[in-house]
Amino acid sequence: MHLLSERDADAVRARLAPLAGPVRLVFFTDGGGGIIVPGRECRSCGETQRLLEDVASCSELLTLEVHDRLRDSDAFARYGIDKIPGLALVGAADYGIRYYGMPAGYELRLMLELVLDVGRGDGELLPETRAALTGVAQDVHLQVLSTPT
Amino acid sequence: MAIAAPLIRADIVDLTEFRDLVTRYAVQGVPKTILNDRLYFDGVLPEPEVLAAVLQAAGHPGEEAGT
Repeated sequence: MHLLSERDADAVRARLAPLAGPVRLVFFTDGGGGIIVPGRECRSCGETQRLLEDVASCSELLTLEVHDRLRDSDAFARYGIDKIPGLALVGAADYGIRYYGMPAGYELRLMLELVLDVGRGDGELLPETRAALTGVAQDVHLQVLSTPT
Repeated sequence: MAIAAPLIRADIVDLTEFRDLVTRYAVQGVPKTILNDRLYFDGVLPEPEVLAAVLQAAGHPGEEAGT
């Protein structure tokens, strides 16, 4: 069953039309079959994966990779993923952009913007911001905490 | 900014999925942005102010973000 309606899929295809380069959607999940701790089960992992499958089918430049927490813990460490559902958006390089949760509704629009930025390898910053960022010599970890709108 | 600077990484986190973070980071409104687990700012700020917070988190002088 698709999570995106045909109309939504058309909108996603249109939004992704300007995608400039390949982007890997590297998805981290708990595929089931493991020990489930009450209160800690991943309620939206299955739906999120189906949504990402639908999104990935909307552009030839998008590919979806799925890593399971139990079978693929190395990949979790390699991408620095500490929560599920988790998504790494990887273009020509891994820019360290992650999305945790299910990008549905308005959040899907946000995720598509990130996909376009990652595919372009550029985030549309002011020239002075770009210049200032060249001086960043220490790790900075930003966590933008939000709720779906 | 994460694309422009190799040492910057950015997570977007849906709090409805990760309720424990609401308490952990004392979230009273969204969006709330946490920098290196010790600085924060609330809401959507103009780019120069976000930059100032990022530079502060990176150890540059400035007192733009809350602690």
